[in-house]
Amino acid sequence: MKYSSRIAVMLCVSVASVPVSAQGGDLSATLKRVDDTVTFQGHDLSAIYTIDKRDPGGAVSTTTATMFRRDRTGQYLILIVEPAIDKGKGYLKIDDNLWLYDPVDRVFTFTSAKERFQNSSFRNSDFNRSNFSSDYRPVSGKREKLGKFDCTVLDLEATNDKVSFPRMRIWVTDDYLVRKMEDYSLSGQLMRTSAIPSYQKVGDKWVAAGMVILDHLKARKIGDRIEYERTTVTIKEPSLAILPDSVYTKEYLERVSK
Amino acid sequence: MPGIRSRLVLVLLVLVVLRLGAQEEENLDDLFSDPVEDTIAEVPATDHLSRFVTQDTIAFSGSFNAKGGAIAGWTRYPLLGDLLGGFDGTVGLVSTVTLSFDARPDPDFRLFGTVSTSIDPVNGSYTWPAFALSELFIDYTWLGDVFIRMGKHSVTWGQGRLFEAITNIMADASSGFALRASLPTLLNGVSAIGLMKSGYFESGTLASYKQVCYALKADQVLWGTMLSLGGRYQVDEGLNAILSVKRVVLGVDLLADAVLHESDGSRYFRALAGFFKEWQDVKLYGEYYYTGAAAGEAEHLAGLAVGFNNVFDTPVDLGAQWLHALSDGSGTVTAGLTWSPWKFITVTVAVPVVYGEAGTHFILANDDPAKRLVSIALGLEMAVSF
Repeated sequence: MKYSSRIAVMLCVSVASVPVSAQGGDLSATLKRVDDTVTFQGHDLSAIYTIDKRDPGGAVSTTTATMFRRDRTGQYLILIVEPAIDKGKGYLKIDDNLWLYDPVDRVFTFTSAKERFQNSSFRNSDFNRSNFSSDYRPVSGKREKLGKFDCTVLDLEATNDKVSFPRMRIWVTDDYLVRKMEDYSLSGQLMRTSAIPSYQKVGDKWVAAGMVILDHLKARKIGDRIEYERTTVTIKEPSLAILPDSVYTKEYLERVSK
Repeated sequence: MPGIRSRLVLVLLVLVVLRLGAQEEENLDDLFSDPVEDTIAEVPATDHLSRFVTQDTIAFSGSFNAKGGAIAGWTRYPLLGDLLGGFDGTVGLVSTVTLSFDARPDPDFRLFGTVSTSIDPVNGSYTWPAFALSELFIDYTWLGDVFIRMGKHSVTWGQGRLFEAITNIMADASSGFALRASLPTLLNGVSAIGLMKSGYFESGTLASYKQVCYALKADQVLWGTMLSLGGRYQVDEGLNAILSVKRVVLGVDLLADAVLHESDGSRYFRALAGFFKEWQDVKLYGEYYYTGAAAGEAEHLAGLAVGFNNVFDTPVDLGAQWLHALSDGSGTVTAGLTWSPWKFITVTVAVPVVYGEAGTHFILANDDPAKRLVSIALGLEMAVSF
């Protein structure tokens, strides 16, 4: 879409939209429902993630990983399967703490959980359970059409400094699924845009079927087009199989690694 | 005239704005005009773990690496009037093959091994020598909660990256036979190790349990700070105890190791403190190291390393490292770039500079066999993993 026409559309939408808060909508309750819709409190969740990163106008790299997640304790374990050079690398998160495991040196590194996952626009923190209602407070809301979806658009501000982005705008459909996210810096610069066009229902909860993420900090002009680093995430074979407690430990990660 | 100039500037600005306005920007809203319908997963009970803990066949993997290159430089600092004085150039070629096998016949048992061999034809090695064993160990899960690793394997304690081996008091584990039992659910992990290696046992005598090296380490995260306390004891070596601390503050990894050595008539202290910060394409490390052990004199070392990935969106990475001995004024500075023009191929250009008086730390530690102080190295590497 051209810049000028996009601005015109945004202006029309802004004028036409009515603030949800003026209609008496409870935005905090909406956030809580959003979390509840995608959080697996009673089960472990495991799935295969395929992450394709396309550099602006450049090469494509693919990472495949298996994720094991326990939402009730805030833990996850991620094992890299592809590419071959990274096979056996692992990520273990317990509470707010993340360990990275390098199978070549057989070393664990304790580090921050906010960094980019395998140098893509997908972040380590994106594997976390949804926690909008605790990490953010809604400051405004409005109704807006997003393609074929009728959405509530919420502007959020972080309530703590543990999150990756201090401000967010999210598009939530009436079934409480987040379809689009824009992540902003404190100064209001757009850092990242994520789209989740489709979900898959697993038991009585939902998991994204795929995501597309644009990193606005990694842009390049290709002809008359500005291209961003684009990361496509596909989530397959979601499972609710019960996992032993020991899965979420460093020793287990070392044991199952290559 | 000023009026004409300002109008010209205005016209140019308008043209620039129109040009910018004509640029098409990638966005994701098109994905929502006709998205794939939401679905319901049919059998949400796939056992993803099994593919990691059991395998019907033995899995083989490995790598091939060939490095060739040339290095030229001066064994003393070059003088304008005598540029060839102390000049020396050498070439090198080394090729290494590593093969690994991994058998996982049961969720509670695994056998893993790695062998490798290298050839260095430039230095008189014209045939591949026999493969040498790098690792060979078993993993056994006892009663579901105790993870045992036994055999020849590496153990890393301590957190140094630039001065890596300095506080890793278990760095010698891979040279012997180690039995490690870990209880991951106790605190944030507790490990006990028994290490047997060459020199611990007198030949021709019955081995005593007293000659074994015993080690114990416990990890705990408290208020976002990782604490690790460990120690190893062997009757002839004495005691080495380590306390490691790590915390992330404002996105910066802060780390510290303190090691105390105690044996008959000898007690000294080593400490390492450092930081690590990573931005999108930039990594920055810094470390400071102190030891009271070097020939009875205290030694202070500091290091800083910076790396830039994909400079200007090209397959070129830049890096620089500076290591300096505060105690004697010696040091080394290395700047380099790597370029990956084709699959499996990396070109490296590096300029290492070593400085200091004769007999100082980094002059003695210069790993260039020709002991050049200033040089330029050009390398070509092929690396394939499978």
